[in-house]
Amino acid sequence: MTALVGGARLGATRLLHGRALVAPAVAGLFVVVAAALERVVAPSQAADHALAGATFGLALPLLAFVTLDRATGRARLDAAVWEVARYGGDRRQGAAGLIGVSALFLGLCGAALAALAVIVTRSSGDATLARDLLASAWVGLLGGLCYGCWFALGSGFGAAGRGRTVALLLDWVLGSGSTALAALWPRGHLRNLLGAEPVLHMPQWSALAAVLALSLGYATATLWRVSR
Amino acid sequence: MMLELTHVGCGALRDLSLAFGPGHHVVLGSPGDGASVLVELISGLRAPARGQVRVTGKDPAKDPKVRAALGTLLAHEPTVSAKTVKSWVEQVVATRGDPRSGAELLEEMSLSGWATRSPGSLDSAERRSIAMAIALAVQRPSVLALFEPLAYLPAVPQKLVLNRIETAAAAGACVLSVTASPRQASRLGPSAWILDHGRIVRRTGAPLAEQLCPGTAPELLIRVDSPRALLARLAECPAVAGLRWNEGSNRGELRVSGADLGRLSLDVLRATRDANVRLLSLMPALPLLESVQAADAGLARGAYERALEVARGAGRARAAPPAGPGPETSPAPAAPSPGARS
Repeated sequence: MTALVGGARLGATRLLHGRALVAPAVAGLFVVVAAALERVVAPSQAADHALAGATFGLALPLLAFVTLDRATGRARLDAAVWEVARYGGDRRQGAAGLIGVSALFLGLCGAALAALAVIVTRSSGDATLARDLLASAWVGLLGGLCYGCWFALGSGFGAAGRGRTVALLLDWVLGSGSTALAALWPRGHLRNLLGAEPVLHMPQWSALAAVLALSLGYATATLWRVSR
Repeated sequence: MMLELTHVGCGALRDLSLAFGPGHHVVLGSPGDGASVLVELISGLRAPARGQVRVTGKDPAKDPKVRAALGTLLAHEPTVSAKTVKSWVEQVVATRGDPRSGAELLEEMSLSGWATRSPGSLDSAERRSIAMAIALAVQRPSVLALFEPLAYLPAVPQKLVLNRIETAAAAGACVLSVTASPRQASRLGPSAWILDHGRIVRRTGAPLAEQLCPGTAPELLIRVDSPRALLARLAECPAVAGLRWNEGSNRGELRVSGADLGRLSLDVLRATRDANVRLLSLMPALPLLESVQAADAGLARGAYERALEVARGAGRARAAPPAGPGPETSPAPAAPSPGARS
């Protein structure tokens, strides 16, 4: 139990200091600018474009990549929790704490980014603003959690956790389609939850189940790879 | 055995096999020979690419309980995320289940002055000092694996370290001190295991100073205020076989060699008295690690060639036609490999 708390504390310390907060701030700024441009170019579809493109297509995956890079101290996941494990802490519990905090941080960032995109693209008098804001923030929360677990899995591979880069490329290249190849990565399912093209014609409720199942699967596989 | 490495390959280590029981063991080798990796493997920081590492029969990389009973000092201690040195040590004692407080532990090693400092403000040697304090504070340790336990520790007294190592070894722990300095090795123990290119090639006998380069004359290092005056006197001493003085680089430093270190020392003392020079220090001049490793390579080569010669002789004897009943030839011994493992 101490190792779990230690891992969570380690993650929080690495993620919540001044310089580490630059990445979420830049991501937020990018989403605001992209959403404002979308509103100027095509006001009727600005929210959809800003969410599926700038927010969930670019800002969130990149932010998740940078966040896990920070949380692991640019090391492999098992080496990242060495501080907790060295004097008798359970490395797996430490990793669980670190992943939990990182995923939660990304979930909150995802929700905030999605909310920003909706607020900027909609006028204040829009009747559906509150409903869309809530729905988008919810998808952002899930997306952040799922990407956190996905990049944690990537962090368990390669020297200095270079597997994160492979994870980013896999999600980007294979997750962009709508075939069976896209079913294993978060991107396609999040797109479906936003109302865009589904993966394998799956209904939205199954996309939600897929995102939850993928998050759980990634987290389990990550912890299974970390020795105690 | 408390500490066992079986056919370990990792970093610079190549097929290393070792087994140590309770007591203090000294390994002499540089980081390039795998000395730092050896301590990292024992600490559980990394798992070997090949082979097994076992501490009290279990893998330290996979068993938290084993790590809790380990005290390790790495070549490069990583930075920690704790706010202060005190909170860092508090976290460690809490993880280990140690009833002492962090302040108490720091006090024991005379490091209380750093308690409120941020670990990020500590330099590499200062971090090592704290890590050393943590390593030596393990209650009933199974294994202590310490890289350079007498060097790069600005605030920890060497006497205290040696005392703690002795106490732990006497209490039944397996203490492994790893150093690249023959001088430190001679301070740490009477004999040492020589690590060369990732393998243990030899265990020296005692006294270490004389056994590091077997076959070479022992040397004394003398520091005096007026070496020129002493040189003439030393040249007349019967026990002195060789003299070295480099006026340009080490002005007050002389090296004398001879067959018998005891007689050599007495002659040096007499010569300094007769020459009326002030003796600043007198100690055995230990060879550099490179010289020790070169001596080992020479020893291995010599043994190999002797065995080869014996094998050739036996071959010739078998090939020659028997000239009647004679003494039976004994089978040739197998040639030892130049890099013999322990």
